[in-house]
Amino acid sequence: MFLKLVKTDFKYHSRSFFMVVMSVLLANILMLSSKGLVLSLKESESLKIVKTFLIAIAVMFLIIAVFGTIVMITKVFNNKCVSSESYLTYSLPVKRYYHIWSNLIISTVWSVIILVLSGLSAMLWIYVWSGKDSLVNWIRDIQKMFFSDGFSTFSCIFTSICGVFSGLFLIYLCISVVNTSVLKHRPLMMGVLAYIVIFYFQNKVISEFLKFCQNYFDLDCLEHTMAVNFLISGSVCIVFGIIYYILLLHTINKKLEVD
Amino acid sequence: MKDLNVIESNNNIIEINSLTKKYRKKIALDDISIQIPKGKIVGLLGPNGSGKTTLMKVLSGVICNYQGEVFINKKEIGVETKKIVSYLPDKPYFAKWMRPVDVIKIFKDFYKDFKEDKMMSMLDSLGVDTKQKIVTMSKGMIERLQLSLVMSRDALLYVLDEPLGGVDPATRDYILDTIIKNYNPEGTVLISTHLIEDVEKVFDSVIFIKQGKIVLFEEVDEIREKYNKSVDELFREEFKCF
Amino acid sequence: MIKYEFDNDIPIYVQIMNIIKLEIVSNKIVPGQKLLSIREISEEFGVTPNTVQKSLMKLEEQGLIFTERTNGKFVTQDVELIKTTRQKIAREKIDCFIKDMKEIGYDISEIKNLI
Repeated sequence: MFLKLVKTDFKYHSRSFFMVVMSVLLANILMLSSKGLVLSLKESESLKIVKTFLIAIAVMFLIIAVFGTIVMITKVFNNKCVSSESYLTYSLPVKRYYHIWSNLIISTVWSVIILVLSGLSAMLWIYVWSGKDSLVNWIRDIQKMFFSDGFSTFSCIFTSICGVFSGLFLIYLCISVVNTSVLKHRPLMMGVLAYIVIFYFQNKVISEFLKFCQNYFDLDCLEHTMAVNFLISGSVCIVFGIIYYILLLHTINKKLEVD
Repeated sequence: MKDLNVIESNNNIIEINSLTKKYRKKIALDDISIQIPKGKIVGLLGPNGSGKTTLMKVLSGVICNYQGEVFINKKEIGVETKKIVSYLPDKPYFAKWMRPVDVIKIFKDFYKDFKEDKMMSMLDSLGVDTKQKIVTMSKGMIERLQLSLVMSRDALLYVLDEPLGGVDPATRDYILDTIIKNYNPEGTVLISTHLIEDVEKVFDSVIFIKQGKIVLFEEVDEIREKYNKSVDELFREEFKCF
Repeated sequence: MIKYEFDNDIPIYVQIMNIIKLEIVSNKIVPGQKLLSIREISEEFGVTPNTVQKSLMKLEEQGLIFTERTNGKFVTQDVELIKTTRQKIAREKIDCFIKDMKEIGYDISEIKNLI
């Protein structure tokens, strides 16, 4: 039943994310066009303006795509689990928390897809503007910094996943809490506010904890300082993620008022 | 007029003990206890705000936070009861992009008792286009679509929340006709409405609910024999506004 | 669906029972004829099948119909019973008529002259 739910939800999400993917595609087309314009015609002042304009729009579309992903994730969860569509959602014969996990998995998949597309776009743009060598150097720098060996790679991926999961749980929690009886007034504003406040608090806790670990365990001497920092941050994220999940379950089961 | 019919038998589809549901500002259901037998068409009658919709949301599993016990076919409300309960809410629950084919796919995937051919023939006779976006349909058409979805399932309990409110007389007749046609001695239909005239002949029994409490649960024939009134007349008396 | 106007103070199953009874005694349904199924009758009148079942049960108690297990319900072949029932209904209607006429002031001889 869970897989069936994921399949159904994936179809649902795909419609929203279609626009986001189109946005990335458009950004790339614009960026390539700006280069194309420069190549085929002589350099002139007016063309430079157009070129700059196109580059700016392309970057804007890429940023829109990234923000669009977050907006879509929020919107889909809101529609399915908290608005009038939830009548359909919660009368389906699956356990309630299946819906949370189904949304989580699909949102993660789409986030990764958009991240990869953005990364590929960035690489394409560097190649197109600065040449192959620049791109190779850039990739080497990234690799040295984040993926130098197994341990680094692992800690990078681990932290990313923890960050994404806890971030998504926090988004879902804010959406749900904002639709309980107490806070129904101005849900969008309250939700965004709640997210910013809690997110800021979470980051503060992580940085304080990192500082504490650095002092207490004398981490600066270690070889893989950054990787270890990542691991610690990721672990704290997990703890926060678990807290968010528990509160989210409680809200969905006990406090939600759809009307 | 406090006639609570407690039917001692193993033939009850719904058993409710001391069900209470409170919202922050009001008590929607106030210590309700009732047993509803299988194979009956039951009317749930009461004015707006009396708790009809809340009770139906509890039975369908949409509300899962309440005090008391609710059993459907001897099971607690959960995944197992949702498999045998077919719920028609009082408002549409479709996403903006959905077309009938999309919802039919969902019902086919999740409900083993969904009969697709029955659904298609119902849509055909109601003139609903399966490829048309639901948001572009008229209110009456959407209601017919929702009704078809619900009645195309071979459920043990049908929970219909105000299926007759706001529909044209032809659709109303169709709805009542469909309910009668679909009748099966193993299944129970619970219909909430505040339009009782002309509908009571479809009911085997009726429940009067007032401010979250059940004030009457009788067979329609008994009401006529006991009080020499129709259900409609009795209802008007019970719920008189001064 | 017949848009039948049912009375408000008599149980519906009694009213349906009377309708079918009338059709039997007036030979609209002949002895031995098969009745429509409960479902068909309930659809025609727009009433719950349980009500129709009650009506048919009462008619069976009175001997006017019988059930053949796999074939359905049939009108009795007992022509005598149908005749007796018809007379009984006629008697009731006449008594009712006389009572109504007396209420407007007619006496028996005046009623006889009218007819």
